[in-house]
Amino acid sequence: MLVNARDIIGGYGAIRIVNGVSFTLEAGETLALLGRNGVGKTTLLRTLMGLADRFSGTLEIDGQPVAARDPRKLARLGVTFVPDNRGVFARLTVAENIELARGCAYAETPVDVYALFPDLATRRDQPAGTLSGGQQQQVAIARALSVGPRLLIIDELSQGLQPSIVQSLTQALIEVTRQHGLALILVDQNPQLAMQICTKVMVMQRGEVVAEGASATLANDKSFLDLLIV
Amino acid sequence: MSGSIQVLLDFVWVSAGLALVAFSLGLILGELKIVNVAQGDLMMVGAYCMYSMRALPFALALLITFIIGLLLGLLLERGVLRWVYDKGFIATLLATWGIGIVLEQVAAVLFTVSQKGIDPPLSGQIVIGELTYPTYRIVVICGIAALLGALLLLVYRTSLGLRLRASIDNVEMAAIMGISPQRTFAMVFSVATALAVLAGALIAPTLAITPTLGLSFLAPAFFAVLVAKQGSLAGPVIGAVAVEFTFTMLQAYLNVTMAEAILFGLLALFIAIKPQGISWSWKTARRET
Repeated sequence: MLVNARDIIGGYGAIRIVNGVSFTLEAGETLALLGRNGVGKTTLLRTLMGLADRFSGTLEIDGQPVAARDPRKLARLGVTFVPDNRGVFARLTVAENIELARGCAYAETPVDVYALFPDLATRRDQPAGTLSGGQQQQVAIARALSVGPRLLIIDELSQGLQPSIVQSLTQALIEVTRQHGLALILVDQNPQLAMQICTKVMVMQRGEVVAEGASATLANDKSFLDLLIV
Repeated sequence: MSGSIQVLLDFVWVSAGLALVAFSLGLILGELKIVNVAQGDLMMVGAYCMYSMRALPFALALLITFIIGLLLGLLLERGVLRWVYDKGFIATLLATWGIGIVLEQVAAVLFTVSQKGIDPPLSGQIVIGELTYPTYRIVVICGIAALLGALLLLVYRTSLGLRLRASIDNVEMAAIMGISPQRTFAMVFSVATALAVLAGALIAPTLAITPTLGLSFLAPAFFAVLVAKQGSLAGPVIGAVAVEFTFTMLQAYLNVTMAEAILFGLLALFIAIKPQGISWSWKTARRET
């Protein structure tokens, strides 16, 4: 089992936002995490990544326990994260962003990120902070893939991006997860898109998981889709 | 003619020392987001180290002083600063201010407040046409230029430098990549402290050594950092040259006090108009506009 999260309670300071979430993920599985705004999806991801407070609950990656607030341990175990603000190193060039990730890599990446995102190949020497939002998202994903992760966690893939870029990112993720057995946890405001990329789906409400199942069956389930309507 | 060369050499001499201090300040500000007001006092520590070891060969004393600087930096970061990082800007400012006061008082107790001095290891003069200039200063200028060059290469051309710049840029994302912020912070503060101590040690033979000798370097060093673009590490070095150039030009026409008053006035105005500082790379500047 790649990920085993048990009764995760997390938040910031004294504020509890995630109220006891449990789930598991096998190597190579893809999970869409859905729910309305403010249900705790981002906080759950940040708690898992050690960037928010985990008040209780356990997280194991590949059977190894991971303490709260230890993103470096996760890096060593091959888990990487694309935050919702993309988190590119703005003053570093595109090439340096990628090079840094390769220098910190968990494993050699089978993916040629410049072939995957040709847009970036022509902008290698440009500071990442000067790129458009869509290009920055490509840098963030290219950087994450460059660490050769076993598990990639993405918070908001398509937010604020034009449809053509969303389409190319979607294609890229489907290709990488299917071909190279990369596990993925994806949060996105567009449920159709998330379920197109991921085979499993989980829905949150008020910091708890209220529904889960296979994307293929739930995508046509009316009562399930109602959970997602704002 | 010899007068203007004299002015030029003096300008290069002061710029070199200031550049080293400004680089160190910029490193601490960039990585730890701390304004280190103890910087001048760290220079003072370097000067007193050299005074204490004046019986030893100069190069050996310099090496020991540098190592003392590294250890002092480590001690201050692990012992004091790491407890106040998340307490906000004022807390870190007060902490470094406190460190400065302690260092000054310890120096006053150990060495009294009366002026001390050491002889430069090279007493000769270099003759350039009609002008003679102290050999020691020329050697120090070249040494600092080489050191800064090496540091900038380290920062901009090595994988260690890349990790450092990444953690200056976005410390949370660097941690996600597996780079330890604690380790980087301790390393950066230690090296930056050693550089400030070294700067004090190098200029010690040309100064009256007192517990407050670093104060006069603090303000110009800060302006050197502030006129540079935030987070840039080459910026403070160029900033130091720019600040010192302005000061030298003003001094050619005015007395020191007036020149300082106008210099600081101009710099305050500059920072008010351009709080982000100047981008020194024309390539980046063009892209950002």
